[in-house]
This record gives sequence, structure tokens and C-alpha cells, in this order.
Amino acid sequence: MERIDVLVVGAGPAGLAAAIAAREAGCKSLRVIEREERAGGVLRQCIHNGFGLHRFGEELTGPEYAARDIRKAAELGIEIDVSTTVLSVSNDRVVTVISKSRGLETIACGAIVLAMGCRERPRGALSTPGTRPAGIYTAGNAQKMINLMGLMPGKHAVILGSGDIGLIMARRLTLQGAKVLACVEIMPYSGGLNRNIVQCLQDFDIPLYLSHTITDIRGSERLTGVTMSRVDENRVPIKGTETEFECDTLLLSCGLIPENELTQRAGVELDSATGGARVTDRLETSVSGVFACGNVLHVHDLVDYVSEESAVAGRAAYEYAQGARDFAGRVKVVSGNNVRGAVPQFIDKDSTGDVRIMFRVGKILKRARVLVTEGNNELLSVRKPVLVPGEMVNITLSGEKARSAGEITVSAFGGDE
Amino acid sequence: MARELICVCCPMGCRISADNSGGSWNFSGYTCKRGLEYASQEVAHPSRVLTASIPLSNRSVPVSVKSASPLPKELLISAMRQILSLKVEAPVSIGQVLLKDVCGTGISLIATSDVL
Ligand SMILES: Cc1cc2nc3c(=O)[nH]c(=O)nc-3n(C[C@H](O)[C@H](O)[C@H](O)COP(=O)(O)OP(=O)(O)OC[C@H]3O[C@@H](n4cnc5c(N)ncnc54)[C@H](O)[C@@H]3O)c2cc1C
Ligand code: SF4
Repeated sequence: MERIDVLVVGAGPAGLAAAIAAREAGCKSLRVIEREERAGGVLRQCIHNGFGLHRFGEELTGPEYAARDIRKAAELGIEIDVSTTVLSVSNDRVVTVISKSRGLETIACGAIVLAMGCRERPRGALSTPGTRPAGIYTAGNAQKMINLMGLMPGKHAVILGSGDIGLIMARRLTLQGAKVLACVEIMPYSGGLNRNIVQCLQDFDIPLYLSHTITDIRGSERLTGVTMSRVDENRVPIKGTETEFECDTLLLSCGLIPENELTQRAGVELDSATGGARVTDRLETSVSGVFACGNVLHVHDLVDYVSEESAVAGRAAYEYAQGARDFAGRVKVVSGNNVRGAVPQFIDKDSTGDVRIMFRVGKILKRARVLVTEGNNELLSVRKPVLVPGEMVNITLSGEKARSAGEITVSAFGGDE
Repeated sequence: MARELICVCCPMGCRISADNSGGSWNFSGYTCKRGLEYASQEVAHPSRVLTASIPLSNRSVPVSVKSASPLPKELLISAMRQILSLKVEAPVSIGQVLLKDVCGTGISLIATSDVL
């Protein structure tokens, strides 16, 4: 059986950053496994700009952002095995991979970094009666069709869900010559960034219907139309508020979920709030020597933070591979009032440096305050003008304070609470 | 004329009212200086970076492209028409100029991915 120090699963921005950091820390025996024909992950299809402002100080398109890391990896002589799929990861760090060129391989790894990204919530999200004709796609699949395959999904489209991918696709379809009739959102607010509401919908006079949903789908072979209804505060459609649209395409933009089949089968504990592994500040999961980062850990909205987080995982993985350390205990991080899915869930007592905690809020909080407490003791208090569910919040806690605690709680409050 | 804008500079998303009935633009509803700057720019010269993918005459996959700097917003649709009619052949590499002057703006169109 082949033996290596660090194996990285996935060559999206997370896997690339982890591999680069491990190599820069001195890791020579390193392999990156990617099931697609090319590295870059989901960035390859995100041809819009807006990536990299934090990290590079300029706005890049997705492919340009990915190209920088791919070039860096090549300069460092990092081996990326493309068209190769990881089939399984065991809890004693044996990985099985398969490819056309080399067949089945079993690799014993010093440490493993999971960076498989996320996928879109499937059609089940659409709880409408009626048929399932052709012409219904997730927004990400439509993005792949247009941007990577050069195919148009249709001529007249309605978009269900106002997440960023849906908004971005409204603009793409319009620019590419299709007519987008409406963007329909069941919640009273949009899940997307203001910038995308303005630049993807308003710029092209595409109406956004908040507190509305699709209640019927028509067409036998191909979609011919949909019905939209207003919903009440319990998200139940209101009779008599129906509007009909004639369209051949319906895009679903209903959110992303971490792709954790491999993780689960390796026996890694998952967090029900994030859908990803429970990790320490070193990004180590509950299975010793197995690390997770990027969208497979929790769905990020900025790739810059994906790269930053993943570099930590890459370095920690190499450190682990060099020799086991003594377990020094952990501080538990609890998600408190208005806080969902705080990551990391634990802080290692023997790690070093300040700790970045990322989370989402459960509702819009204006004149907000984020508090980190241990019992009645306040460790950190940060003011933010506004916190919205659609944007990940991140705070930095002094490492010294964090590691001297037993259990800490992160909570957020609006100005009126 | 009165207009309503949403500031895109931070998650607050302030609604900014813009009014030029008094001859020059007058803004209200912003919370900070960035909002005021955004609104002034947005009423005077709204501009956007255009990104798209265009077919290659000798490949089945398209190449992704962007305008080298923001284009006036009102030109986006005609710029698309112009760039979709371009005849481009692979190989194309990142940063390569595919069109020197988009719609008479002097702004170029460049490739954002490599197609070998
Ligand atoms: C449609 C969309 C639009 C976005 N827009 C923006 C934006 O405007 N600005 C911004 O900053 N961020 C944006 N993001 C977020 C950003 O793109 C992601 O946060 C980032 O790409 C996540 O990186 P990742 O490496 O974790 O995952 P991915 O990029 O998904 O990479 C995961 C990789 O793992 C591979 N893989 C999975 N399973 C296996 C396996 N079993 N074996 C081998 N390989 C495997 C996949 O093929 C893939 O290449 C967007 C995301 C999406 C989906
Ligand atoms: S005006 Fe200031 S506070 Fe309001 S959205 Fe713009 S940048 Fe944010």
C-alpha cells in the first residue's frame, strides 16, 4: 500500500489552499485528488466577478481566482490527480481512490484534508403538485450549462428562490438573450446580497416577488408555465392571489448543503446546524487526523475566507502527519441566542494564535452586538451595524482568553433586545 | 426627478432617495460617507464590469470573458450583442485581449479562462 503524509480530497479553492499551505510548511509527500478533469472546483463556472477583494485587493472572476492558486500549486510542484474520485476514507486514514488511468488504489495517509465542497439542494425543495416536465434546473446546473458547456437552458425563465446563484443566473440568462420574467422568494426578505439584487435584477428590470412561491407547474414534456401565489406569514399560499407565467424554464435557487457522504462514512460527527463536520480551531474533525475545510465544512459566501480557513487545515494536517501530539483538552464553543452553526465547535487548548469564529444569525439584527461569554463573564463584545442571515459573520477572539475558558457561548442581539 | 437607490456597499442596504428637482442632486437616507459616494456615482455614471462566456469557432466549450474595466450600464445589452458576434478561436489564454474597443468606449474585452 502506498504511504503518504497528506492527502487532500478535492481541488477547489479549499483543497488548493490546503495543499499549498501544507507544501509551504515543508510537506513533500502530498497528493490532491480531484474527480473533475480540471482543478478549480465551482469557481470554474462562476464567471462573474467579485472574488478575491479581501485576499488580493482586486475583484477577480471565479476562473481567474482559481487560476492563481492552480499556478501557485504548479510552481510548488504539487501533484493534482484529476479525473480521480475518492471512494472512501476510513477512520484509520486509509483512502480508496479510482481513476481510468490507474484503476483502484489504496493509500495510507498520515493526515487527510476533506475539501469536497457543497451541492445544491435538490428539486425536492420544490413541494409543488403537478408534473415534472423538462426545463426545471437548479441554478448551479444552469450556470454550468451556459458557462462551461455553452448551452442555453431556455428562452423564458422564472427563478424560484433569491439566493445569490439564482440572482446571478437571472443576469446571465438576460445577457445571453433570454427573458427572465420573475424571481420568486417565499421569505419576506431576499437570501442574496444587496449588490446582486441591484446589479442582477434591478439593472434589467426583473421583478422580485417576496413572500411568494410557485404553486403549480404546467407542461407535459417541456415546461409551458408556472403559477405563482402570495404566501401568508406561515408561508402558506393564499387562495385568489395566483399569477400565471408562460415560461419554458424554471430555475431553483434554494440553497446549498455540504457534500458529506464520505465524511459520514468515515465516522466523522456532523453538526446539524452547518451540515458539516464538528471541528476544532485546527479544523480537525472528531476522527483524529482527518481535517475539513471550505464549503464541505460550512457554506461560505466569500471564497477569500475559504482559502484562509483551508490554509489553516493544510498546515495542521502536515503538523499532525509529522507526529502525534498529546491531547491537552478542548474548549467547547456553543451557539447561543440568534446564532446558528458557530465554527469551530471546539478550541484546542494546545493550539496557538487567535481564534476566528464564523456563524450565521437566525434573523435580521439591526444595531447588533455579538457577545462571547463564559458563564457570566464577558470575553468579547463587538458591535455591528447590521447582521443578516444571508451573510456569514466572523469575529476574532484572543487565543489566550479563549483557551483559558471551559466552555464559551457566542450570541447576537439586536439593538431592541 | 426623484429616485430610490439601494446602497450595495455593506449589508445595511440603506435606501437612499435621490432628488434633482432643485437643479443638482440631493441625497437622503444614507448612513455613512460611502453611501453618499455610491449614490452620487450611481446617478451620474452607473457602470458595471460585464462578464459573459462566448462560443469558440473551433471548440465545443465556450471561453469566459470580462470587460477590462466597468462599462456604462446602459451599454451592457449592446455590448453583449457585439461580443456574441465575435469570431474567436482557441487557444485562448487568461488576460488575452479578444476585442480592443467594446461599443466605442475604448475598453477592451479580455479572456478570463484558458482554453487550450
Ligand atoms: C454558484 C456559486 C456562486 C458563488 N459566487 C460567489 C461570489 O460571487 N463570490 C465569492 O466570494 N464566492 C462565491 N461562491 C462561493 C465560492 O465559490 C465557494 O465558497 C468556493 O468555491 C468553495 O470552495 P471549495 O473548495 O470548498 O468547494 P468547491 O469549489 O465546490 O470544490 C470542491 C471540489 O471537490 C471535488 N470533489 C468532491 N467530491 C470528491 C470526491 N469524492 N473525490 C474527488 N474530488 C471530489 C469537486 O469536484 C470539486 O472540484 C459561489 C459559490 C457557488 C456555488
Ligand atoms: S450608506 Fe453606509 S451604512 Fe448604509 S448601506 Fe451604504 S455603506 Fe452601508
